[in-house]
Amino acid sequence: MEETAKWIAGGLVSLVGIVGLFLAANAVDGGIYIFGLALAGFSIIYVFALIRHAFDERDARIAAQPRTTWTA
Amino acid sequence: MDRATTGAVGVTIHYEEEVVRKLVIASVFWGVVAFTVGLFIALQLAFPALNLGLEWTTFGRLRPVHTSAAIFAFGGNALLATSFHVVQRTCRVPLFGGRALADFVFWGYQLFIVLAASGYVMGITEGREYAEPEWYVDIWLTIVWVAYLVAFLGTIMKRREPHIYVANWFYLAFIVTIAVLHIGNNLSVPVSFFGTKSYSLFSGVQDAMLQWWYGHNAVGFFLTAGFLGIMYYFIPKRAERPVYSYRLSIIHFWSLIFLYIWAGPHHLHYTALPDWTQTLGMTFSVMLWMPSWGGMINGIMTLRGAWDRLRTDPVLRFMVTSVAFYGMSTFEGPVMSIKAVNSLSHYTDWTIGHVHSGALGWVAFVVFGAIYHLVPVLWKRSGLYSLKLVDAHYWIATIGIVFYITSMWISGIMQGLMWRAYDELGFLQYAFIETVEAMHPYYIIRALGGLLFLTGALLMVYNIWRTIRGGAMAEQRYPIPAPALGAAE
Repeated sequence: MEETAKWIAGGLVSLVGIVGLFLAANAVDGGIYIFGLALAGFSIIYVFALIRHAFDERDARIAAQPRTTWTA
Repeated sequence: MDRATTGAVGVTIHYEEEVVRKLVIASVFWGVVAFTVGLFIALQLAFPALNLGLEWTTFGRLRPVHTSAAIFAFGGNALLATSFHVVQRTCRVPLFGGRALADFVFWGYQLFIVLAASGYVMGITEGREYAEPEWYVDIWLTIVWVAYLVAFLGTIMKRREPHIYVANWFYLAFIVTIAVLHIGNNLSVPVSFFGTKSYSLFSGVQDAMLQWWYGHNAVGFFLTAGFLGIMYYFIPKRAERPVYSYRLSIIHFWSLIFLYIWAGPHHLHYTALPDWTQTLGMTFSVMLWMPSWGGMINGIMTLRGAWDRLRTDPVLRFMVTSVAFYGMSTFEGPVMSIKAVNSLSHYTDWTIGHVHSGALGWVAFVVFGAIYHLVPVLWKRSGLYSLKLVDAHYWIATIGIVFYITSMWISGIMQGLMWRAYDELGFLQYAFIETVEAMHPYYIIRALGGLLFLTGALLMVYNIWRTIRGGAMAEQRYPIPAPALGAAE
């Protein structure tokens, strides 16, 4: 469930970021320009954070596994 | 992953606690911002030169920054934090959607706050009290709020407990109703999808009615129902006693939910709103007295058998005092909604005093209590850094509230009486500027109250920071005097 939530959230937030860039590019005043850039910035930071957490969780899983020693 | 693990009966549950920690810090941060801006605009009213001659720092632009920071940033983050904590603990399951959804709600909500506040300072506003953000910020909040509802409701739906604890009922009513109110009140038509300006879908008295349907129920469902959720979980938890009457809590819930939604028209007495609507609003406001006091009695009586803890535990004292303020302001509100009283109180500082007895005494105090209780739990500490500092915070803040609300009561009633005073020839006895001059001393006393409240909050920041760092201050904790020997002789 949590894995699915990550993909859904990541996809939707990426879409929000693109909408933000579109708004900023066509803005007729400063408020929408700032809003559009803020959405795009939020989207980038959020998706990078998702990626970082995924790697952190994988590292934690590996660290928690018992180590196997190979001998020749 | 930074998560708490709690053992239930044969089950290990990984609660999603990092988001709760972040929300607690955000609540404290925005609380200090709200109190600081509040103090500054209070001083602006006493000393207008502090408007600084800049449009960005005028009272008109900073006032919504203060109100939104207090209600939505400080209070809202506290509600998000406690609701996520309570729903996981009482349902015995981790948060639905996991960290991804929780982080979206947290960061999305902070973005909403920053967008709203920066908009106010730049003069971008719909001009609707407590609903000032323009259409694009409203849409963003709607998206975040739906995500919040999904996380909360999803957690309830996958619960391991058969029963839904009453605190969750209040939280859910708060989340659902705020969504309905927010969408209803903000139905507007943007001039352009690439511009900030929009116009309300409604006009005239219908628009005013809708605005105060929203405005009053923002008080009812954001500032009351949500914080009652805090009361119903944290007071029993802190007092280590069950809720006084669970049946009363259910009656409290349904009667409050049913009655509150009709009370909005009392904000529009003696306006173009039809008279019967005003009377309806007044009647429902007076009826609200009963569920409000039922809830207050339930909160306070939960301490039965543990009254001594009020002397030794300032955290519990914060919570119980907040319930006392809840009782006081829910008595004052119905009184002020009576048309005869409202003709004196409306548009005066009495309303400001009433709002702050609720906001500072009820909302802020119950949040302080909940945060002081939560911080050692969330950061796995044995206790707070200093209970003496909590004690000092309690008294400084209480004195601050007393200064604030008494000065506004006096100022407001004086203001109302001066406005309606006629001389023997039927002319108004006072010019408007004379009422302003008469209120000046009370504005200074109000600012002093705000300064004390901010000072208390800064003590809390220090205490929480030291608690998170670890360790405890060496202090003698509430020595109980030995009984006087020979007293019976």
